Amino acid sequence: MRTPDDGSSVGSGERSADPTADPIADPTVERIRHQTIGPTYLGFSLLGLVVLMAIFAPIVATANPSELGVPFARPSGVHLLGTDDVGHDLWAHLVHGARVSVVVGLATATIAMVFALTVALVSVYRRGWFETIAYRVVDLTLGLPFLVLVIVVAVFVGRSVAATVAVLSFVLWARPARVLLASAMRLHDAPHVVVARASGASPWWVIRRHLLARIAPQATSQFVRLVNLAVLSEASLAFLGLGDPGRVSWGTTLYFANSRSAFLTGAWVWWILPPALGLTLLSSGLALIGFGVEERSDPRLRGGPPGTTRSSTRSSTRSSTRSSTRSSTRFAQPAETRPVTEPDQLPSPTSKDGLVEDLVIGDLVVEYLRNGVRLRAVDHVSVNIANGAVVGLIGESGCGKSSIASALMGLVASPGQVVSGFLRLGVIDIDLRNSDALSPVRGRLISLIPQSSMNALNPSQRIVAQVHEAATVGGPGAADRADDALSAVQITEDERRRFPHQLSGGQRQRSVIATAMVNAPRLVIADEATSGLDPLTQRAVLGELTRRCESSSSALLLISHDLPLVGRFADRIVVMYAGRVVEDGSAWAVMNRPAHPYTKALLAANPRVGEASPPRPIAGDVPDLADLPSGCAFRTRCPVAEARCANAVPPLVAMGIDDVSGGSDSSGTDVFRPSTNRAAIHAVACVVRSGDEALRSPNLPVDAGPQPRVAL
Amino acid sequence: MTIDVVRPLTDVMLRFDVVSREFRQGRSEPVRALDHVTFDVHRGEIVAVIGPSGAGKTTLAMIALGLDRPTAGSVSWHGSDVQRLRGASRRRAQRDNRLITQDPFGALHPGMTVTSIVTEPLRGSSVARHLWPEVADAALDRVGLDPEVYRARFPHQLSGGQRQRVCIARATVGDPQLVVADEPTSMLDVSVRAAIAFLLRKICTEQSVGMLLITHDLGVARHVADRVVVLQRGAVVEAGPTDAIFDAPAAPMTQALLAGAS
Repeated sequence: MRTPDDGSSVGSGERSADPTADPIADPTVERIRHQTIGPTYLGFSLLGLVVLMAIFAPIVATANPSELGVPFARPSGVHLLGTDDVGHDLWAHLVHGARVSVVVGLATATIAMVFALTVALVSVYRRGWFETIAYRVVDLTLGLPFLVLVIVVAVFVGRSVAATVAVLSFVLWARPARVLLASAMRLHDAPHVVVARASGASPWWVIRRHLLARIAPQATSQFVRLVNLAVLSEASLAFLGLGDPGRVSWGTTLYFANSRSAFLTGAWVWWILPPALGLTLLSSGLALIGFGVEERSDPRLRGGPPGTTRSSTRSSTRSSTRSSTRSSTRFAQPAETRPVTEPDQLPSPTSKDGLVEDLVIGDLVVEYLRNGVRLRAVDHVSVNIANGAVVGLIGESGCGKSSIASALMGLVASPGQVVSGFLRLGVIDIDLRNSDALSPVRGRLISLIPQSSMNALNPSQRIVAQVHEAATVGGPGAADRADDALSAVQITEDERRRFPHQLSGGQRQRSVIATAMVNAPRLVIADEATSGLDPLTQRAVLGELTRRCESSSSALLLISHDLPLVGRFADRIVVMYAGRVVEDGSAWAVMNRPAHPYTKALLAANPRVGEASPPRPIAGDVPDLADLPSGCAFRTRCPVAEARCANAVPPLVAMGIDDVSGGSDSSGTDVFRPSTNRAAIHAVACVVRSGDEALRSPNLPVDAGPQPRVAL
Repeated sequence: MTIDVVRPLTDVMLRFDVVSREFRQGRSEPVRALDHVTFDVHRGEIVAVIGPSGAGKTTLAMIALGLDRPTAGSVSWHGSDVQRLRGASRRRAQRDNRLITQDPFGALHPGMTVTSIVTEPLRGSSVARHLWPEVADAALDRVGLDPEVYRARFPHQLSGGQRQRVCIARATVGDPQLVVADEPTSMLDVSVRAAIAFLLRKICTEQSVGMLLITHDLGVARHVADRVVVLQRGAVVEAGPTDAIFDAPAAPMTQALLAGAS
């Protein structure tokens, strides 16, 4: 399945054979981009239909709704829907009834929404007493017995459409006000609003451009809800005899139908279904419009050119769920048909002996679906983790690090899929394609400390309860294990009975570590666990974590973008780029003798305090997964790239530590001397170091010493 | 704590004069987030504020921008005393302030295009509206984003580093005097931190703005800041030229921070 665009990539690189290489060539992209416009039009059409019917009622239904005729007449040319028990024309009832429903629904919702928005937005700008009073009044209104109040006020004010609208608006504004107030408050502190305010933006501008624009979807859904509620409440009031007796509405029609024997006769089909259908059409139309408004206000839901990997993972939850149904058939195909002939191809997991003791992540492939395009986030990654070792998994955003963590925990979300991969825990081999296979080990043998979770404890639960909860997964003796785990991180008896907010940041972080370690897992995965913390805290947390792992002989997979930080704690470092492993070696070797140009660039880009020479940023951006360069994905940013880098993915080549000398002195064979042989850079570009017991990797002969294998 | 060089007062873009800020929660003892903080930021220089979490760095940023008020002391912007300003005149004075936040994802309105984001600070400025697209293109160019490619994009179509560049472009339009960068690199990949830091340096020098760089990334501070202020529990424990502070830290806090940095 080669697309014409791939003509340049003549090598054996699998990317060029990937059916998803060119997103534009894929028809599903276009289809998904446009499929969402339809429902909005449909929504407006439905609303328009009902409104037009209401406006032109006397023309649409010539019969007078209050005129009496033959009871229970069958539908005919004269009476389109027949007549009811006293001979009222049901078609006239339906058409004229729409008037009251539409007027009450739209008027009530508009008044209540304007009031709610005003209260919410003024509260945001007049914090202090206004906000306090607003909250109290809203709560009070919400606490009022809705129907009783409506009845009392309706009786007091009298029976008219205007009175109904007034009463309903009065009781219905509070809930949207509450919802919108909370959103507006949150938005007012959102960074983009703070930035605007910091530059002196006027309140009116902030409200219009930043607050209203972003609460519009919520306001719309609340509006739809209000219309529905108002229409149904009007029907209820009419049902109770509190409607305007002089007017026909869908509510009164239903009321009469229910109370006057509709169900005892065949007439209910024409009597009850039409007004019920009217109500359904009205609310469906409004719901579809709400859907469209949400889409318009959030360009992420609109399709368009694919975003970058990082942003797409953030926005994928909504956009991809929508596309998943459409594309599920694509996923149902046998996922991998490519003949596998690459040099870095793994031998079958069972063919290797001598590795049984180890933790092995083998041949992991994870793919995601974006706008109908399959993107390979993790591409044949194998990591071998020695017992109790600390392995750093390094790469920039979007290189697939977090997908590895998700795959290992069986948490790859539905638009994503583990295409292949196994996890070996000692004698157990787990097929990662089947997330259920992981459930017996999840939390027991493997535990995860997710992204930025260091301060994310449940605020309403005591520390000991949270650790205990994690411990129960591991079977009996949970309470003892929880106590031991907390003692190990020096949380005292007194402290563990507190709530998270009563602990210091350090105590909370240690509690998170205790939670992860409580079942003494074989493998702990820390996925960017310390990002965003200050450097002192980061070091303290990672120090504690590695100590705990050491004392319980757990292996630790430190997933991070921060190579210098991880270099301080890891025994071994695996560097990833665009879903592939580009370098793998002992921490010392990777930090001091980096072989791959990317690793070198990462190290050089880090602004270091102790170095006089300024850092050198890596040119360009991480390529989008949907648009990866052919051959070596790093070549577009690589300082030593050459023509053939476009042709094939450089294989992982085993080498001794001395083989790479940072270009200053040379040893070993010519191929490793960048100054004289740049082609060799390509050949050795992706490196698995060996000659170190901890470094045995399942995709290489274990006996590999300095072993220059030039594959190209 | 006094600062090294005496410069003309007109060059002072931001002045903190014995500023304190206390937070009260119920009946408990008030928490002092800032404790008699004094320093100046001059035109064309970057002053880095460093310190551990909870040192009051963010409170300092909010007060510097007029989004929070000190409980004691005074703050002035490019010559005008902020304390006496209210309402519209205060907002006019704020017009030349810019904020670059830590979170490049939240800092951009998801429903606005790059051009409309970048030109937002121009509202109410003397720049005629028909010139805004040009101004936006120039700003994007300045931060190394090709206007042709990026001007019509939405934030979700940008990477973290690109978003932060857009934030910086927004901070350069109009006639900025004071830029507060609150942890501008801490949520970015290590690989792009240096690029963003150098960009801040370039903007500061070329546009002669005063920049307050709040960071816990000492490497960034070392390579781009002119002067450093070290904050500990709300108080300035050390201040001076960057090289002096990094080569011979005097305060124990500074020494600890440096020892912890890679």
